[in-house]
Amino acid sequence: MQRRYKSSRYPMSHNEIGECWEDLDEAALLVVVGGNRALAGELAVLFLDDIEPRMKEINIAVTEGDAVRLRAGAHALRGSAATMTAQSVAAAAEELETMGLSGLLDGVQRALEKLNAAIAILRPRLVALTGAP
Amino acid sequence: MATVLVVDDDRVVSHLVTSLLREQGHKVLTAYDAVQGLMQAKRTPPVDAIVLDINMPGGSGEDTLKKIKMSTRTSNIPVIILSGSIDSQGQERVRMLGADAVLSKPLVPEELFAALTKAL
Repeated sequence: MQRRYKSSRYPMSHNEIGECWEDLDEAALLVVVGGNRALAGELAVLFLDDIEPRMKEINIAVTEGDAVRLRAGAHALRGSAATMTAQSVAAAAEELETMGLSGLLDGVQRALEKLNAAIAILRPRLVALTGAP
Repeated sequence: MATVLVVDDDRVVSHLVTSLLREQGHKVLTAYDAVQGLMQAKRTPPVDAIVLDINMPGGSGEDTLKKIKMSTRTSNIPVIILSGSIDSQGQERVRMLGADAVLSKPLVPEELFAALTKAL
């Protein structure tokens, strides 16, 4: 079951990609952090720190065809991404999580490419949010 | 103001919840897995409430909730469940296990504050 990040809890604002998911909904993120921009930056730092180990886990799972590991890794990334209101990453991670849950890994490479593309778009926006040069 | 234990393996969510609760004046303890969480839950003096992720690796939040509610030392502590993906059956199940509230991720601060106020 696909979760509708786009419309379920927060309004859309701008910068849609792919399947009309937003890469980062900053207005929604400000709601999540109670209007505290510094906290949003702190969360972005943590999210960026965790991206590499999370993607490593997902890549290993895909390479080894390990559905259980894929489900767990993709679930972890989806949760963080949803909290960051990074909808396109959350949606791409959910697609991989669903594959892992079902054990049906047909098309997993394409789903992984979609996730990598979404992360590539998200990363600079999160870096900007951290205030780092 | 209350002492709240936050049990979540996700550092982003844990930092978010911790920061929001501290801004409200609460004292917050954190645990990043079920084992740590159960240890912290049994501390003396006891915490006033627990915010618990239902889906953690190496021991589900449901198991943790069961253990909290089965122990005489912790059974009276209100538990607020956080979940990124829980259906209505799952919500009913954790409520039957003793959860006081079930909140969806991404978190809405007002929902967290309201659930905590109601639970305390």
